[in-house]
Amino acid sequence: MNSRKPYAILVAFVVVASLTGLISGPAGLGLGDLVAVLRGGGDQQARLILLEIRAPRVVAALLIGAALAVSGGLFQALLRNPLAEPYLLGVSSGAALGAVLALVTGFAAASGAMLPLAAMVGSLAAIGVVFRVARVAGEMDTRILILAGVVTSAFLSACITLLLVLGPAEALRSAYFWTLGSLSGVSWGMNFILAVYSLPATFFAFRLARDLNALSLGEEAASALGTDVERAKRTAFVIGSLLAAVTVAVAGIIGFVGLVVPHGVRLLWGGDHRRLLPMSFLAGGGVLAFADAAARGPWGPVEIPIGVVTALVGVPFFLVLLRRGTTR
Amino acid sequence: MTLQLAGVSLTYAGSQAPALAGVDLVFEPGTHTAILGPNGAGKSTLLRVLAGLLSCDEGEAMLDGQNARDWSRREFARRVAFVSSEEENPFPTRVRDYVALGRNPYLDGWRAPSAEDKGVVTFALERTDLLFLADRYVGSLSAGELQRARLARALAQQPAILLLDEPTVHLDLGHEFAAFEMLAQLAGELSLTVVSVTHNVNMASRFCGRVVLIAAGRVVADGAPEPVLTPENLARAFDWPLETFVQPGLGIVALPVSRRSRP
Amino acid sequence: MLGWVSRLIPPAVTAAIVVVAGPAVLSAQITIEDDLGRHVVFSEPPCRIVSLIPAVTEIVFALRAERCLVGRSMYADHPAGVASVPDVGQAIGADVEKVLARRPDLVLLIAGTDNARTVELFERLGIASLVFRLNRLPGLRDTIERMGRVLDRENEADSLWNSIERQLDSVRQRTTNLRIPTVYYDIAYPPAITVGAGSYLDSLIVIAGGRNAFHGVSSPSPTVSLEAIVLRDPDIIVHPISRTWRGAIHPTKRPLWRGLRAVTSGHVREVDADLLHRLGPRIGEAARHLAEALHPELTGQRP
Repeated sequence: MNSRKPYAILVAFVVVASLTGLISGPAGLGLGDLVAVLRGGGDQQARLILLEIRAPRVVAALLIGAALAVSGGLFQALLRNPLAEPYLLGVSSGAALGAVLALVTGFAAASGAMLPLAAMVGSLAAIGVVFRVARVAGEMDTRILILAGVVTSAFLSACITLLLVLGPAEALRSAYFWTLGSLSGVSWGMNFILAVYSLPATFFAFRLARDLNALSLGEEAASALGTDVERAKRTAFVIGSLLAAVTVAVAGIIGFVGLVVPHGVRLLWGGDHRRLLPMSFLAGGGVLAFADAAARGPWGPVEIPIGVVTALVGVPFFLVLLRRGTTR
Repeated sequence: MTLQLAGVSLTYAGSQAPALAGVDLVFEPGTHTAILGPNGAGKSTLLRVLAGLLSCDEGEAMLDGQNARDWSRREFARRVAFVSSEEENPFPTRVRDYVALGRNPYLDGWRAPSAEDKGVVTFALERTDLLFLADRYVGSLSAGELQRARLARALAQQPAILLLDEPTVHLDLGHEFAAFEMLAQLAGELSLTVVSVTHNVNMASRFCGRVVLIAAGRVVADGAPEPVLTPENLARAFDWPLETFVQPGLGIVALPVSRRSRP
Repeated sequence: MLGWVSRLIPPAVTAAIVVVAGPAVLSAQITIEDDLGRHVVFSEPPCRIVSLIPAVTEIVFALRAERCLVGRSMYADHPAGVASVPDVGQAIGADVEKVLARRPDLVLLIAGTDNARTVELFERLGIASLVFRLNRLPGLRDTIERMGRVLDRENEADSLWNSIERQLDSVRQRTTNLRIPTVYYDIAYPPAITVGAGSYLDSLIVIAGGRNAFHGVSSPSPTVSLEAIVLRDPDIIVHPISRTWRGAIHPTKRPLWRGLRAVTSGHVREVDADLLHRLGPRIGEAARHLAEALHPELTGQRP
């Protein structure tokens, strides 16, 4: 599959996904209602649902899916491993620990912003620890990075379990659902924060593309080609972690997007990061918008956690892609 | 554009013996030097110090009088190209894009390659006889073709100096000869300074104006091929008895002798 | 002649005793079927009972049989006298050793997958146990009746249930002519968990003169989307507050809930979770409490 205008396909994908997201949900509002509301009309309830509930969710899905896919691409380049994903280095367990602490101590009740804030702080702290551990003689050793991430995650998970076992039962329930990921309750305010954090970060990630291409040849060859290897690794790590952390803070843990999307894009359109990263940005957003629509679909009032949808759909789709795409 | 080592010593962490000890070498512009020596002599280490990829414990490597590690990697890469014999497998990429990576030191994140950049890549592909393979995937190339592709990538950097670590290690007799011949041609044509680490005594003697013999981190001999590649020097360096034969026009051949046949 | 009559007297007396007292002795055997379908037979009323169900602990006290209580779970907090009953810890996944230390002849457990192993363990150890489900109102009546039989307090059990029924009826009557609001019962957030038709709270809402917004969902505690809540446009949001769990986020502090009519018109009513979330003897009081939350005019306040 070559450059059959991949950007056109991806943009169309995003548009269709967004529309699907806007017309999905238990309220049964369709395209007609959407058009009416956009024109300024429509009844109050429809306006509330479309503009205050569904639209922010769709936008959040686009932003979060994009951020996760770019983050996954960055980590796959940094660790030179196609199985790398945004949560590998402690982002998710750090965030979960922050969230659980907030729930168990009751701080989460103080305001709607406490939970995301606590999650953000937790993930940044975990990333900081992993970064520190992987610094050997002033350089980032990527093999140690993976190990440090895995070990840190395991330790933090144990801490979380301990807290939940000793804490009140209500905290357990809230924590469990938080780890499954959810875009419910996302407001325009949170979208603004998401955009402010993730869009500039993504911009810098795109600029790193050439260096990432060189890095795929190995650190020595990359350095010989003029790449400041330590700076490139550090930048990839920081941006990738920041993108993952801000998404976890807002929506909890949403798996598979960060792993499957960049890998899928690579299988379809090659691994040149100048294309891989922007295309993953679009593809990730579309994928998550579809997943969110499915989570809210015609299943009645009950909502499926979005992490479940991404796993159930993402894995078979990815397996199909793997079988088709390994001919180069 | 002079590259030199001044009093360079380097010991790898955890090892007793130094990898390089007090090495002084100057590489004049336009010369083709071969670095020869046994395994573990420090040849690759020496080349990497020259390329600014390793820092030394004592002394320094200098490009045009400035410490190699003080140059920005981009600026350095515009002047010095380093090609190693082993590399990690990149993601599937076409030969043309692979060679185009050599333009990285001249491009930054956003800028698309200019017509000039594309011209340099085509030139590199031409000179390494890879133009007909430009649209093939790197994964489908033979070892020899891949080695040429790496050389093309190095040429795309438009360097003044070319550092090659065992550039012909995967090549058979014919391809090895062709590679050395091409190097000599390019060096003359583009006025490149070439430093090649090699095991091949014959190729070194035929194509290189200067041979540096290294053993145990020290320079054993340094000069034109004939005076350097003597049985005594070679036996001392390789710790193995050798006989040499000089054939006019075909260079020097060194043949090892069985230890048992010598007293 | 009086001789052989007098020899008949001991056996005759014995026969008389057997005939008269026999049924009484036989009927002293109590057979109880619990909510798992298990049959437990008692030859006499057990009097070393460990109750791991706070609601049933309250029932035991209400039946005035608390002297037979030798252990209770850590969650039992009512009535005041329960504090002097030894605490054996967890109600689900109990610390079996702690329970055994009380040398019980009966253990009461709540139904659930987490308790299945504990039940099996007690069976293997030969300790009688009864498992109760207690999630619907009829279940409460059955449980009270059975506990009455177990404790040989059937009369007290009858009057307890009658008193509860009277309380519930009284609430029904007081709310009969009032407007019926649609109620969203806010069990938890995040995620948004409410009550469905499978929960006694759904019945309680009806008794209190309201209508459960999610009555159409059969599960006892479904997780629902905000959109579904907006769609049902509840008149009132009932927000339970617990003494032990202070970590719940108030509906008015949740980012998107501010758009709900119930929130903008100030119809978020706080209720006592500790009272409402226990299906036990005080359920009548709970119904009245809920009714007052749904209809402030009952206590003379403006609706």
